Amino acid sequence: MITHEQVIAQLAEANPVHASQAHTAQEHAEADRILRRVLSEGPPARRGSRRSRTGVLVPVASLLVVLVVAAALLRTGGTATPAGSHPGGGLRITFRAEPSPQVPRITTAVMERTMTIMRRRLRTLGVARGFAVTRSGDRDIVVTGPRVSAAGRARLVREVGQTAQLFFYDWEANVLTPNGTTVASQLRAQDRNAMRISQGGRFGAGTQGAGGLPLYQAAQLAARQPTVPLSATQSRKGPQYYLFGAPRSAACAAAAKAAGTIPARGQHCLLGGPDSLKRDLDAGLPAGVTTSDGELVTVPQGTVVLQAANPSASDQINPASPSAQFFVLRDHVALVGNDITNPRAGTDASGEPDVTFGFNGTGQNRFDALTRRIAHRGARVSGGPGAAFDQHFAVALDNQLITVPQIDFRQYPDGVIGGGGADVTGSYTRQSAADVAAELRFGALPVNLKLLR
Amino acid sequence: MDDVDRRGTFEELFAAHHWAVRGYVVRRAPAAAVEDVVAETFLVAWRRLETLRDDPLPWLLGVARRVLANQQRAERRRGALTDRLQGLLPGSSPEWEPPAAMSDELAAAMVRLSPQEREALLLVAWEGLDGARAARAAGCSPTAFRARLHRARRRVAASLADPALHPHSSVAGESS
Repeated sequence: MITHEQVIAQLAEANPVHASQAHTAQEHAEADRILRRVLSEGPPARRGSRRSRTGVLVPVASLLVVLVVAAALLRTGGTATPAGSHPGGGLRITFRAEPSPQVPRITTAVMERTMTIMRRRLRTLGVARGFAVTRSGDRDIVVTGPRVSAAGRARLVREVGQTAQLFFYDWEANVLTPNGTTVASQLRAQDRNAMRISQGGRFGAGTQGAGGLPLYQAAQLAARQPTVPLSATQSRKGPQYYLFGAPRSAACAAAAKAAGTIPARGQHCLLGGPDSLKRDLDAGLPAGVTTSDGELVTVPQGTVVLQAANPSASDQINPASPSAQFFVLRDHVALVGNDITNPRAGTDASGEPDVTFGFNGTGQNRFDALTRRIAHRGARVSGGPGAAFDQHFAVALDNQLITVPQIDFRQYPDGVIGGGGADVTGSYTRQSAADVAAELRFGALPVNLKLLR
Repeated sequence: MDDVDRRGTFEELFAAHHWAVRGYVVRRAPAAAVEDVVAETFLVAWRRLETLRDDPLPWLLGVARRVLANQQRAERRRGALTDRLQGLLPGSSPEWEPPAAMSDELAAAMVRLSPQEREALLLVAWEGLDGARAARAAGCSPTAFRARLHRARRRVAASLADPALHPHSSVAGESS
C-alpha cells in the first residue's frame, strides 16, 4: 500500500511548473502587460460615504502633469548648444584623452563614450544649460559654455574631467530604508519600505518608482548617518556637500530661471552640489544666489546618495528634476570597475538580450564572495513557495545606479561562482542591454583626461 | 490610503506574489488562458486592496481558483459539443487536464477525484501550502480541508494500489 506521503511526493514530481524556474523575457513582458492592464483600470469606484475622496484625485493628477512637464523642460534644457555659440568671453575647456593601462588605444568609440559621460556629469552639476561637449581632432574634447568664475571653471575641470569609476555594492545589505536601517535587516519582518526597495517597482530594484526618495529627503537621510573611518572599501574620501533652497524661496526661483524651468511646488530645490569641496558649492550657484540663501546638507564619509537607474538611455531623468529619485547606501564597495573585463551586450543561450563581463583574479574572488553572500541571504529571508525574495547587487557609476540585477538563489544557491564571468539576463531589451554594457565599459575601461587649457 | 499610496501597495503585492499566482494558473489552465486569468485575479485584488489581510497569497490563489472556474464554465457553455464528446470518454474530467509529466496511473487516479479533493491535494503538493493557508486558498475551514485532503490521499493511494483501475487495463476491458 502506498503511504499518504508517497502520494504527495509522486504528485510533486509531476508538478509542471516549479517555483524555482527562471522566468523568460516573454513572461516578464506578460507580467508588465498585466500590471499595466490592472493599473489602467484606475482607482476603483468609491462607495457611498467615501465619495468625497475623489476630490483628492484632481490635484494629485495635475501635480503629476506639472512634474512631467518640468522634467521634460529640464531634459530639453540639457541639449547641447552648437560649439562656438559663445564667442569671446565664454567658457572653453579642452581635455585630451590619454591611453590608460586598460585602454591602450583611443578609438572613436572611446571618444564617444567619454563625451557621453562628460555630458551627464554636466547635467549632474546642474549646469547643462548652454554647455556643449564636442570633439576636436582625434583625441581632444572641448567643453564650451557661458562665462563662469575662475572657481567655477576649476570646479568644472575637477568634476567633469575626473576618471570614471564603477562601483558594485551588495544592494540590500547597504541600501537604507527611510528610517535609516539597512533593507536587509528589515526583510524578515517584511517591512513595507524594505520590501519595496528590495523587490522593486515595475522596472526592477533600483529604478524610478522602486522606493527611492526625492533628493532632499535622500540627502537628509544620508546626513543623519555617522561618519565612518576611511577604509579601502569606500568609493569616496571625505564628505559630500549639497545646498538646497526651501520650497517657494527666491533662491529656488533663481535656480529654476537659470535652468530654464519652473520651480516645483512644495519641494526643496537643489541649488548646488554634490561637491566634495565646500568652496565648490559657491562656484556652482546660480546668479544672485549665495550659500546663505540655502540649507547646507553634508553627507558624511561612509554614505553615498545614488540616483535611481534611468528607465532607458533615451529616457534619462535629470538629477535636478523634481521627479528624480535617489537611494541612500552605506558606502561599502564590493567590487570596482578595474576588477571587471570586457563587458559586452549580446544574447544568452535562449536568445534573450543580456550583458556579459569577465573578471581579473581579484575581481573573480570578490564577485564570488559577493554573490554567495547575496544568494545565502535570499534563501534566509524567503518564506514558503510564492514568497521567494531574490536579493540583488547594484552597479553605480558617477553617483547613479546603472543596473541592479538579482541573484536567483534557487538556481545559484552558493552564488555565481566558477570563474566563467557573469551573465546578466532577463530584464533587458536589446537597447537597454547595449546601454548598460556601454556604461560598464566606460567605468571599467576609463581613459585619463588631461587638461590642455 | 491615497491613490499614489494605493498604487504603491498594489505594485508591492504584485511584485511579491505575481509569479506564485501565475504558477498556480499555469498548472491548471491552458497556456492561452494564463494571461487573462492572472490579470483578472489581480484586478480583483486591486479592487479589494483595502480588505486584504496579512499573507495575501492564499486569498489570491482562492481568487484565481474562482476566476479559473468561471472561465471554464463559460468555455463549456461555448463548446457544448466538446462537452458532450468529453462526456463519452470515461474518467475524463472537463475541468482538469493532467500534466504531461504525470504517470498514467497517477493521472487516472487524480481525474477520479472530485474537483475539491483534487484541489486539496494539489495545493499541498504543487503550491506547497500547509493546512491553514491551504484551507484559505480552498475557501473552506481548516477542519474541512483536513478531511478533504485525507479522503483524497486515501482514494489516490487505493487506486494506485489497484491495477484494475489503471487506464490501460480498463480501456482494454471496455473495448472488448
